[in-house]
Amino acid sequence: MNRGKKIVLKMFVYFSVLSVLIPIMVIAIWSVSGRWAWPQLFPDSFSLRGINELFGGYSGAVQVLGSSIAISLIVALLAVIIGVMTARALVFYDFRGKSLVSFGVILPIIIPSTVFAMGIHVLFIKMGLSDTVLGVIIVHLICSLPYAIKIITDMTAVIGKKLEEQASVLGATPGQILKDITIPCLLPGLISSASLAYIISFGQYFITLIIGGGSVKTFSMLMVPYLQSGDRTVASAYSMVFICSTLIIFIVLEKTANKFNKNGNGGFFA
Amino acid sequence: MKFKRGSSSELVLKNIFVSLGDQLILDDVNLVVKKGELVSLLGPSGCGKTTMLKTISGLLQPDRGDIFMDDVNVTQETSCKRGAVIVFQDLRLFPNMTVEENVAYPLKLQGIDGKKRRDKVQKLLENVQLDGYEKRSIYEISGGQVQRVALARAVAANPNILLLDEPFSSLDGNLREDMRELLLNLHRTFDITTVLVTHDQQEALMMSDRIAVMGNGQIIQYDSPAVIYNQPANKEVADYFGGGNYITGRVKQGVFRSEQLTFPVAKADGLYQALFRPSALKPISGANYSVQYVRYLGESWQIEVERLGSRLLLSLPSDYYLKPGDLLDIEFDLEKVVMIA
Repeated sequence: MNRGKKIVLKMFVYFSVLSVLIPIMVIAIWSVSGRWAWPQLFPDSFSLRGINELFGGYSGAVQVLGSSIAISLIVALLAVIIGVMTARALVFYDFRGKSLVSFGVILPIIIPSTVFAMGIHVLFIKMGLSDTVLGVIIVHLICSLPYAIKIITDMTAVIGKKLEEQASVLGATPGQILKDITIPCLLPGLISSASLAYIISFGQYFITLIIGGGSVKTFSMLMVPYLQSGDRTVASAYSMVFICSTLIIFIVLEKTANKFNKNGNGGFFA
Repeated sequence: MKFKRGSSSELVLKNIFVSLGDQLILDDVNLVVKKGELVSLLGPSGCGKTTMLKTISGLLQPDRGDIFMDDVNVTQETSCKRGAVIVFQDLRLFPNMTVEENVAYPLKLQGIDGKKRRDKVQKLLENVQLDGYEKRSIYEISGGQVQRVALARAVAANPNILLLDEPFSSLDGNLREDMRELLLNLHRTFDITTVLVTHDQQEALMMSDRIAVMGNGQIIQYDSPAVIYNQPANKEVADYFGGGNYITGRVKQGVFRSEQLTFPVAKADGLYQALFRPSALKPISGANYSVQYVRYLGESWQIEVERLGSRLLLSLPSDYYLKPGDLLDIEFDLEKVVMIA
């Protein structure tokens, strides 16, 4: 029985891993294939068209990748900062309309982004934020904050104020408490929130298109037309860069964070 | 005069009122703890002991009243500047630091660096018998060791006042003994003014210079252990130290009279309760009392006897042999009577 259970469990693990790896492998092969017609098991010919398109210079994909990563990192950082502040307000303070605020922060998940994008667009045009990087960062933030706030609020509630009280009576100023106690203790939650905010921002297409108006280019905006036009070679090449860059960012996030928290309880991604 | 943390000080609480929400927790508390003294706060749970520690340390602000350390009013001082360090009941080691780093943290906050810090940490860990555990994570040490780290860390903060909130309540018997011994040693070595919260009367009696018995947010009696035990201010305090047999009677012209017994006593006239602790009663041959039940407690017997509806509790050495139904008489040891007004 026990043995049978183990085999089932193992099969489940292998199945899960393969169901992620096989599609990625297919994308990897597609990105360098010239012609791959059904029902061939392997491509008929290989081509560097996708790679050239990406790194050849005329598409500007590399620069866009850079600025896109920058935008998403800023969104991740802001989401974490606002998340920590909101979480502390929601957990440690009692104020009028607290339940309204805690419901309000998850509204962007409930309302479809296409709906609120229209409204925000009108507002941003009036404020002069439309077609600007700042505007794009703000809408990305609106989409990613609910997740960041939820994760950090739950962690803050679990950790509580006890360790901060202890540090305070030992002589730590509020600044020192934040640096030495609060942030290290929240770190796993901060990494999760930052990663989530990053991927939400990085993968955002429609909202970026509306608010950025085409003048703010992100990597998704270059990639989606290829996906839609059915040029699988180039689309796959873009997808590979998308996946790899995100993975690298996650690993870097995790490593940097763990540098500040050497007794951390193991990594999330690396 | 500006208050400075870093040396053992005298602590004075003056007319402290603290409420949490709508509830009044501390109701006009006055307390003086002399420099270097070890004082126990004793009382049932919910009587405001922990609130008092938090107020002393600055984690809670009193509604009214003042707190002085060495004659300086520190009521408005933030907790990080007061130097009143709490060792909480749940100990609160920092999970992101090793044993060594936990103890080093208050030193780091004081700006002590490098070799000096390392040496000091080493010395403190030796003081609590934890040398060799420096690099351990706090998840890799036992409950008793966690307490030692918490104590060492508190001492490292160089406190003016050390506040201990039932720090040993989670330990089993032997370990408790060890930790009490360790605490007394630390207290002797560093001479820190210490307030120990406990609900264990034995612990209070054996460790403290003075005991403050609390109830309902007030200090009922504040005196040396011997006085508290032998001259409790009221029945509540007496009960807290085991209680016993209360005999109600009246003192008139230097004589206490009641149904059961009459004896001379140097007290003013009035209504009194004479408390005889179980060990103050001795069985003698006779037939006025009948044994109700007998309980074996190892070192002693706990025996209840009855006469005309009034019951008395006795504590006898275990070489007595009595069984329910036996008849006897009781001798009251008048040396050990405690008179409560």
